[in-house]
Amino acid sequence: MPSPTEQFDIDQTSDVLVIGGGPAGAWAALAAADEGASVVIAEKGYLGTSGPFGVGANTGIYYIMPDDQEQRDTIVDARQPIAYGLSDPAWGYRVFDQSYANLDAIAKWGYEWPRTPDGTKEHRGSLRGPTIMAFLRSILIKHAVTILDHSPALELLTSEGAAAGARGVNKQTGQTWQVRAGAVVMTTGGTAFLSGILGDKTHTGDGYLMAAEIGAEFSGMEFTGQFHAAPAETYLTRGAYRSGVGTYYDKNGKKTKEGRNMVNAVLQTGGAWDQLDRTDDPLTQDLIRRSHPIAFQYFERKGIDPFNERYPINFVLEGTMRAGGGIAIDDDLATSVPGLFAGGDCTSREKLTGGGPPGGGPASAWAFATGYFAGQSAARFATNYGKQTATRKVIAAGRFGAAQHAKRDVSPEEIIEIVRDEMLPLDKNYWRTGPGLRASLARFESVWRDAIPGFGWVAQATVKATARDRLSTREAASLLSAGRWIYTSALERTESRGLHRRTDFPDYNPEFEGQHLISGGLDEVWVRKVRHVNTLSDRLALEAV
Amino acid sequence: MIEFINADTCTNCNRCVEICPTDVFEPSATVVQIARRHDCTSCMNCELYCPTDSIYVSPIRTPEVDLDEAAVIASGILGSYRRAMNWENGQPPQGTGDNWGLQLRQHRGEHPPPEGDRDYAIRLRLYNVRDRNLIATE
Repeated sequence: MPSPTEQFDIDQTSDVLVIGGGPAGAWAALAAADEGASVVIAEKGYLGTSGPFGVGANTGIYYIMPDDQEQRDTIVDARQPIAYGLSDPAWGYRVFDQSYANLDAIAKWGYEWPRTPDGTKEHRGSLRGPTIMAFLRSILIKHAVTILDHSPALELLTSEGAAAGARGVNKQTGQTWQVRAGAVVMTTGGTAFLSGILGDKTHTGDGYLMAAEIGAEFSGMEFTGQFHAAPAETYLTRGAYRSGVGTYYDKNGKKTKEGRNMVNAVLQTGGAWDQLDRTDDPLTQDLIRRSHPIAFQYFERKGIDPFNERYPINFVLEGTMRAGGGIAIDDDLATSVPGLFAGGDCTSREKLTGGGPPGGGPASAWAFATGYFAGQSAARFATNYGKQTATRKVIAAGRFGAAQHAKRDVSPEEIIEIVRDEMLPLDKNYWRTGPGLRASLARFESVWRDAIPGFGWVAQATVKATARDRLSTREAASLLSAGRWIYTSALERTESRGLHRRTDFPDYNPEFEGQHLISGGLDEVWVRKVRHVNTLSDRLALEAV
Repeated sequence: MIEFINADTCTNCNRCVEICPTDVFEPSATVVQIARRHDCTSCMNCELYCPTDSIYVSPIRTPEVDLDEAAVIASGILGSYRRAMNWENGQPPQGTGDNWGLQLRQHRGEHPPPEGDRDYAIRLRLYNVRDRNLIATE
């Protein structure tokens, strides 16, 4: 642990520190700046290109028209059956309304939405990720937000039990940094355990570990058995380009339904194929090709005609980068730790989508909206401190893989391989069983008990190499921790529901109806049941009376 | 995984070094070096930000076998992703820059959603209300 007198190459103070520069982080920073807060945003990669949104080329986003009650109710109601009794409908209106407001703000700042050929109607529902993130970056700069690129946070700071900033490194320069802040917003995204999907290499659950080290809790970590098809050997777990036109086949060429049937076909026949063979309309084909640039770069560069030939696919883990579990938050996006707020994919999205899949449209809306709410809440919390922010006594909270060691017995790569070995296979994480989960957890616990106490970063030949080593030790500890919370929760929920599938408990269990699983802990992982309450719907109903 | 930087056209502006989310590149005195190739996730953002279409990223996770750099350059494919995304000179368009997605939506929107699609129930209900094309896929 760094000593209190440690010097930092960059040492700053701000009202709000945002950790993670995807869409949720960008909106958190803008919302905090709108509240009058000074804001620093620290991004592990580059704000504009990092994460699944910034690399995705196309991403849909849900919003609801303010003046069309029928459409509003339809969008919110339609998601309830696939939320499995764990969502709060009022959160649906709140999230989709806020994403509408954010898209409206983007238009006012000069972003031009696609229009119908006759120029009459705008369409805001489909975003080009890299383009809109480049635009948001320019808006952040106009709002005087300080952006630290290539600057992963390694540990949080606390002051009298409240989050008070963070410390990290710059992985390009090797410089160290510290930002003291009145409040911290965590927007570090989910993790796919480095399964090989777009944007996954920056997403290693770092925010989970930092938050857990100061006492944050998780919710719905069992709803994480999310896998998606991708053309073999690619990072492209995209669905939109084949929506309505694609057909899956098993390894032997037998037509197969989507979802569970498809996963079983892969497990039984050892592979699968896809072909966009449900349309022979040349205009449809041409418009699909033009409107899904990144997927069609694959076909073009590999010389595949997806409309007329089958191409092999794999099922790849998307984990919490596309499923509901994450840091538990309340209606103000506060975590259980004072001064620590969270938004986007690193939070539990159960309030919106329960135990089911968020999909891209709701997930983008969640990032835009909860990022915004978290930034607002953080800015308001930070007014408690004012000028004291720069001078109050802070403690560095990193505990696992955060300290320097002269040498280590186990490398970060070895720990990460063990975690991937347990998290990535379909027959361990898509289809879960009690004995399988116990075996995976036993392996995780033995690494945690034997390797982690002596696990730390080791000085390297250059400051840059040292910074990268510091990052990878924390990444290994983060991924291992995330695996423990996920499988401990999965073992506790003795039923199948949404994105949690137990072959030994294939049906709903009434004991778990309307029950969330809250988890946490590092030395000892714990999990407890908490009854679902429509916090926001109930509050609004009370206010209406 | 990134395959090559065209040394004949790279101006060594270091824009790719700046924007790569996984720090694949390293500056040098002549042309930018691919220093950490295995950190690349084929996000292709370096192709968008490159002002001279000098970078070729393969969409697959492993190095291409027997890739003929000269043939790839001669094929004219360098910059194809940038063109499809409407970026120019390393700069984004002022907005999406095309309406292909909207045209696709309109072209298909005259039919009810195909059964078995993801979010079919939502789509069917939306089809029956006025703004049935509002909901985005993906």
